[in-house]
Amino acid sequence: MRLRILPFLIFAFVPLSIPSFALPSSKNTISIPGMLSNKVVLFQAFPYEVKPGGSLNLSGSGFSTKSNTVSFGGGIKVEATSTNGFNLKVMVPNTLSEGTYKLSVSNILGSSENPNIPVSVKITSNPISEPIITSAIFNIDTITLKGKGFTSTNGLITTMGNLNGAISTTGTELSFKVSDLSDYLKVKNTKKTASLSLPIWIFIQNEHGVSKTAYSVNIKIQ
Amino acid sequence: MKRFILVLFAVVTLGFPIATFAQVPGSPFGGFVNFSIPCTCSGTLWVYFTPLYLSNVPITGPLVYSPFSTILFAQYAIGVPSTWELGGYIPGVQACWIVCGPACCPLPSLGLMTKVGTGL
Repeated sequence: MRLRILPFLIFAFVPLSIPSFALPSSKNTISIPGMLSNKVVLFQAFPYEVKPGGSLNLSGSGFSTKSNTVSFGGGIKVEATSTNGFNLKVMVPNTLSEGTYKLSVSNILGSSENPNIPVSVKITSNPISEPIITSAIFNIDTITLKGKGFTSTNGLITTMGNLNGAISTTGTELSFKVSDLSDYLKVKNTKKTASLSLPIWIFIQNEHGVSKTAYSVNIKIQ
Repeated sequence: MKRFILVLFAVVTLGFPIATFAQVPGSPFGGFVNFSIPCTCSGTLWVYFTPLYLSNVPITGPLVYSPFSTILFAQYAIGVPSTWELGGYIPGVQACWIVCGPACCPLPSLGLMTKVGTGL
């Protein structure tokens, strides 16, 4: 008779032991998997340049589904709610004057302020779009990027290191040597065969912001 | 009394393996580390594998190790180039953010490691 309760006893252990990969907490905040739980973190505000009265999409972790306070430069504050814990849509106050503002999000978990993670936005009446990469071609040692919003000085952030000062004269095309990237030799030294083929992911950054997503291009290191 | 002991024995021997398995969700992976990149915003580690086995067909690609959620096994040398690693992962999780200009940027990966061990 007691054996009939055996399956229930066994499965009673399972719910107790499942870790919090979904991670909704009793505080109405949701942390994304892999992130420090019980902490609010702000990673990105998009777009970088925005008009007063415009909207911003914030990305992070630990946002509340009930109440978050978004602070512009520590001064003007706006209330916002998140549906999933990692995205937050915020309206920029009309009263905000032009300038660059550091952003932070506060909720029941605390504040996202962290000197190592600078997240800022530029409030301007004439916002210009961030650079966008639409195609990339690799040839021998050179990558040629095509897109829009490139300026006279662009920074490249890649999975093979960074490169500052890449110049675009046309605004739509930009070339750089893979061997000029800061971690090129580190990756090249891991090569066990005659050549190593792998993709690199590229972000481009200038005074109007950073490309929202990385563009991937396959390269070959001889 | 005998039945009670039998039930207790069954719970201990059957219950705990199920519980342990349930603790670490995810699909298996194994691969050879090329190089790794510290995710400077999220505090995680982006690890590129060549080859990477997610099935019996080898591919190449990155997975992310998180000190906040990945269970680490011996030899604890995660992301060290030229080491073999074996573990579990959950696909489609954005867990690596790097500093780029006035914000952080999401570095794409194939997923988040749930557990990992290193063969030296």
